Amino acid sequence: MMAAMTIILLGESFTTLGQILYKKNMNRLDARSLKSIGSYFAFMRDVLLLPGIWLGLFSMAIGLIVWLVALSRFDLSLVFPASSILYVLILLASRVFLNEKIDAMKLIGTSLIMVGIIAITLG
Amino acid sequence: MSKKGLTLKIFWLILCDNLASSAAQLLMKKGLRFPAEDFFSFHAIFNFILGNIASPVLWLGISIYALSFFVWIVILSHVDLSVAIPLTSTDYVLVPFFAIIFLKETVSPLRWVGIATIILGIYFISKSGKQALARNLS
Repeated sequence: MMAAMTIILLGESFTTLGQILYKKNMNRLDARSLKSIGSYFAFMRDVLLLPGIWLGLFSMAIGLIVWLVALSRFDLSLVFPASSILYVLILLASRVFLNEKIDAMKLIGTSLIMVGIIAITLG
Repeated sequence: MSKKGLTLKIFWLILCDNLASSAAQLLMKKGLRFPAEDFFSFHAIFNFILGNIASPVLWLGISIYALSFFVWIVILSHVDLSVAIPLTSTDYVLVPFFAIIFLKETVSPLRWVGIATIILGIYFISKSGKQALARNLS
């Protein structure tokens, strides 16, 4: 149980780091209108030219490998609810590293979602 | 630059992206033929990767996962991370919903409570998004 929690926390920390890197880099890249197929390819090219995105992908890959290790060892009914720790990590990290405003709506919403996930897994 | 709220379009995009990454995760789980022996030895991790690398189902899962990355990047260019990530919980609503329709599974009362709680949570998050977005894109 403790081993599972530690591994999941480790994996979700890498996932959080990856998401923060994605978002930080997307904040730097101009949001543009994506109308034609060509504009999507140009957007994908620009995204892949950002080194920070690759760092994020690397961090997500480590998170994914840790997650796969957890999945191969532990029951899905334990891994799923335990993974909802991600929501807490993301709220904290968005506040600290991205200066996103964490208002009451986000706190209430995220808490309800976590309670819901636990209920679904118990049910 | 135009201000963009959590529009219905972005909400649908998050929904589709979640479905794709859920499907990808199921495929990856199915594609894993060799469990990891140990997490703290490079040898065991190496064997874990080597033992599973030839699995087509695993690679199909990874490919869908890669595609959903680009959709996710588009989503992140429009909304706060602290809005987008909680909305990924639509998985927990959609998967039982599909299980009822396509697999004729029954859902326990506690699960219905869980699903309703998550939907309420998503509603709250969507209310927050509308105020937080302008800053994000400025």
